[in-house]
Order: sequence, then C-alpha cells, then structure tokens
Amino acid sequence: MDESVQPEPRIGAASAADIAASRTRSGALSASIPGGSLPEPGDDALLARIAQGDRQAFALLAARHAPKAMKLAQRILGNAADADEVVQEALLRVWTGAKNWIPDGRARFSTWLHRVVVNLCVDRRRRPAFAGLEGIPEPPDPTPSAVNVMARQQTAKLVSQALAELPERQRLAVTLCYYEERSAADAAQILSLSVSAVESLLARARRALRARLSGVVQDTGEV
Amino acid sequence: MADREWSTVDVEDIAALTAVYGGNPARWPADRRAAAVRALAADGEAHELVVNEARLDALLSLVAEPEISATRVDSVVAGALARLDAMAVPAAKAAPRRLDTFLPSPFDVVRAALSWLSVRAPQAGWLAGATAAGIMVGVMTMPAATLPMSETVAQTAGTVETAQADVTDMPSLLFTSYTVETHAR
Repeated sequence: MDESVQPEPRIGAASAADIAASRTRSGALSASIPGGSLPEPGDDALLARIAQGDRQAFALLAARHAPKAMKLAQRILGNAADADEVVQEALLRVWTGAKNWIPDGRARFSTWLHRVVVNLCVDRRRRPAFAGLEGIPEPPDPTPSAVNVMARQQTAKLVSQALAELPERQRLAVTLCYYEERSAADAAQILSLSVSAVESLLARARRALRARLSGVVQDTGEV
Repeated sequence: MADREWSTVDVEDIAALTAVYGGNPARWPADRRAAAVRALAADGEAHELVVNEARLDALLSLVAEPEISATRVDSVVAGALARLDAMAVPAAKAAPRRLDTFLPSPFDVVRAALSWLSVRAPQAGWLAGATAAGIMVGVMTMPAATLPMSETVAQTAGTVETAQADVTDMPSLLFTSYTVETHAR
C-alpha cells in the first residue's frame, strides 16, 4: 500500500537493458522477428523462446503480465511488498515451467499465471503474519473540508474489513470476478473449481457482505 | 445455473443472477444478459432487485484499487531477472571444467560406489544374495567330477570326489547334505 517503504529498485545493466527492450516494440526482440515492425509476439511465442533460455522474451512477458498479477496479489494479500514477492516468485516459475507449456489454444497464459499467483498468495496468508508498517492506519487529515473524504474512507475501510473476514475461497471468488473482472469460467479455472461452485461462492459472499455491511446501509442509506 | 437456454428469464432468474453477479448487467454472463435486460424493462420487481444489488456493488467499489506503478513493475521484473542470474551462477561455475578433470580419480570412483550403495543398499543386498545363491546352486548341481590332487597328495594315491545326491529338484538340492569322499586308489 505504502510505496514509500519500498526499497529503490536496483536494476543492473543487463536487467535494465532487458526491461528497456521489453518496453518497446522496436526492441531487440521485435527487431529479431522477420519484418521488424510486426506486432509484438504472443504469449505462446514468448514462452517458446523462454523455454530456450531467452531472457529478453522473459522480460517482455513478465512486464506484460506483472501489473495485473501484482494487482491481484495485492488485493488478496492487502500488502504491496508481499504482493511483489509473490509475483516475482510466480515469474520464476514461468521461467522454469516454460518448457512444459503446451500452446494448444485451450489454456491462456494469464489464467495459468493468475492460478500460480492465487496459490502462492493462499500459501503466504497461511504463514504467521508480520505486523509491519502496512498495518498502521494513516493519520486522518485534520482539515474540515476533508470530512466527506474521511467518511468515504471510513466506509471503504469497513468494506475492506468485511471482505477480509470472508472465508478464503469466497474472498478469492469476489476478488477475481468483481475486482479483476474475470468471468466465472476464468475464475473457475484459476481456482480449480467448477463454474457452478464459483457462482455458489459468489452468492454466499454477497450474502455475507450484505449482512456484515448492514450497519453501513443504515448509516449511509446506500443499501 | 449454466445448463439451460436463456431465451426468456423471469423474476426468479433475475434474483438468482443478481445474487451471484450483482446489479451491473455488464458483469452478467453473456448467454443470459440480453434476456435479463429485456425482463428488467418489463418487470418492475426485477428492476427493484437489480437496484438493490447495485447498491451493494457501489459499496464494494469504494475499496481503492491497488496502484501499480511502472517503477514497481520494473523492480519486480528486475528482481526476477536477478534471481535468474543467481540460479545460473552455480551452473556457470561448474561448466568450464578442464578435460582432464572429466576423468574420474580412483577416489571419485570409490566415493561414487559408496554413494550408490548408500542409496541402493537394499537392492545391492538382494543382488549380492541372488548372486551367492546362484553360485551355490551351480556348485551343488555340478556333475560328479574327479579332481586331480596335488602332487604331494597324489603321492598318497588318492582322489577326491564330490558325491552328488540323486535328486534334481531345487529344494532337495538346497537341503541335501553333501559329502566329500576320498578314495584311496
């Protein structure tokens, strides 16, 4: 959450070059493709190159998918530093697992990556929690004009708390389908469940959230 | 909920749909969205259901979206690349061996054998036992033979014969006692 506590990124020359190449279509990767200005290679093509040890392909694929994976991990973990570590670990699994990827068109790489991220997040949440700086609430803004903002923040905090109190699988289903805007079918693949099981989790989660937020309903009149 | 045709939906269908996916039609599954939206326009009760669920959606949307800056993404990707380098270092150190170091020293052979035995001790035990049993059976089933004696013994004008039992089945071979007879010439 608080990015000010994040260490400054230490990017070595080679890594910076890899990332720079991954950021531009005219990078070495695209240039090495016949035709030069062709669209960026797809995930399957990049995975084939990663399987052969191509670091630039890895950097390109990682830069392409890391933002969404980080967002998902942070939503599940509620902590930027942990989310970054989880995604880094998931990216390493991409490197080691690329040779096993079968580009048959049935599975999407992003779905696979998100499944890895979700599993790593679940593992991490089961570890004893460390009460770091992330848990300390920010001091309230004392200016009177911020009253509405504060009320909104307070409501958001209650909603976050209600989400955090959901059983794990319900919370994962809500995160994937509501916040990540995944379809129930995608979420089912990521969670290794059937679509009807995901729909059941969503229904129970919404019921529980409505019950937990009933006080907010009465105060704000929103629900 | 997924295994039916959704050409028409009623209020109960809308209730089930919104209980799962909320009040925003954009989140509803495509196969039932059009029919559900048509039902909304025609049914006030269905419309009310959707409005109620949309209020819960509005509360959920108050939760701030995590900010993922480009700097953070770069940091994560660079960290992953650095860890790849770290994983590659041991392999790189092992790679440039000189040719003569590929020839195993006697010490390496002994160490490898011990290591093999430590892992495969049970299998090795069976193998050794099977070999010993094979040798024993071979010796016991050997046809009767007259063994020439050494010169000094020969002076005593004797021969040593193995006496073979008159049995052919394996259990008998294993448990029949054998005698070595010395015959004086």
